[in-house]
Amino acid sequence: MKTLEELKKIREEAANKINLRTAKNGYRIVVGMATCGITAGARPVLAAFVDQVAAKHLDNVTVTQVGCIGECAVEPIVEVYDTEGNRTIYAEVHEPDVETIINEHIMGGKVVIEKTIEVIKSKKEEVL
Amino acid sequence: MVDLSLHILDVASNAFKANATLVKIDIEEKEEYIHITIEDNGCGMNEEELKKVTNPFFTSRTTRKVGLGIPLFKQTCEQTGGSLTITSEVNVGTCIDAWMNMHSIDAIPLGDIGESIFVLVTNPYDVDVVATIRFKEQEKVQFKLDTREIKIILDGVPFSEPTIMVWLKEYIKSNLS
Repeated sequence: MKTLEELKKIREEAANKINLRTAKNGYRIVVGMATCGITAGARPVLAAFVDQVAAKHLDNVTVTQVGCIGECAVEPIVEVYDTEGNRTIYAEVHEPDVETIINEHIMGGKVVIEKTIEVIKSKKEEVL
Repeated sequence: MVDLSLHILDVASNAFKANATLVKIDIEEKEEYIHITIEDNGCGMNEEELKKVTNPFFTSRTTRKVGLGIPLFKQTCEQTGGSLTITSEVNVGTCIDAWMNMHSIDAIPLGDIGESIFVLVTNPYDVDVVATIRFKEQEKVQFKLDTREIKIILDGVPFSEPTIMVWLKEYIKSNLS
């Protein structure tokens, strides 16, 4: 069982990393966590992003949560903000998509076009 | 919602929008029932709002016109013969008191409560979270987590640090099993 004692050590390491880090902010990953997102499966998606970011040592990437942005039909929604504040909105993001977004967008700098909200919504319109 | 842990995450998140500084979640698990209380010290609701809050077509949001969190949780409890009651006072806070009869065929499992607690604890609104779980198994140690204690240890290092986040996730998981 993990104890709070351990956290003191982890804290020192994290504090040192913050000191070494350059002022430049990295990507910010925001997962929609309102009723609509939660029901669609946003919680394990957020957990998977946290795991991936830590496993790949992406120290300047933050993973956080937000409420509903009004696109409930295509949840879980994940927004990615780059260093300049540009926003990419991904829709219908499930656990298997997390690694793709991390590898291609966060690490490779290339937007995963097929998971963007624009593409997902236009595909739905075609069906209708 | 497929399990109670998702309802708990959803309804406890209401505290974030209510300008609360603290949300307390208490879960008592017994063979026959699960009793959940979610209490915040946020802005609270007046009598009129309180009457409307279980109506799915009422919400304080502007992004959409429905508010399903509380109505869905209430339905989940009531379909087992249990109940969900809300008490609230303006500028004092809100308390949700939910009972679910676990012997009912319509009862849903508790689910991955650890992951819900993790998401609540790492909220970006700086709202403190106290979570307690008393398990039905006598031999299982009661779970207790208070972010105010964790903040003292972290001494300024934010919860959003990847290594801290993962540690918290594993800590919660290991203390629940």
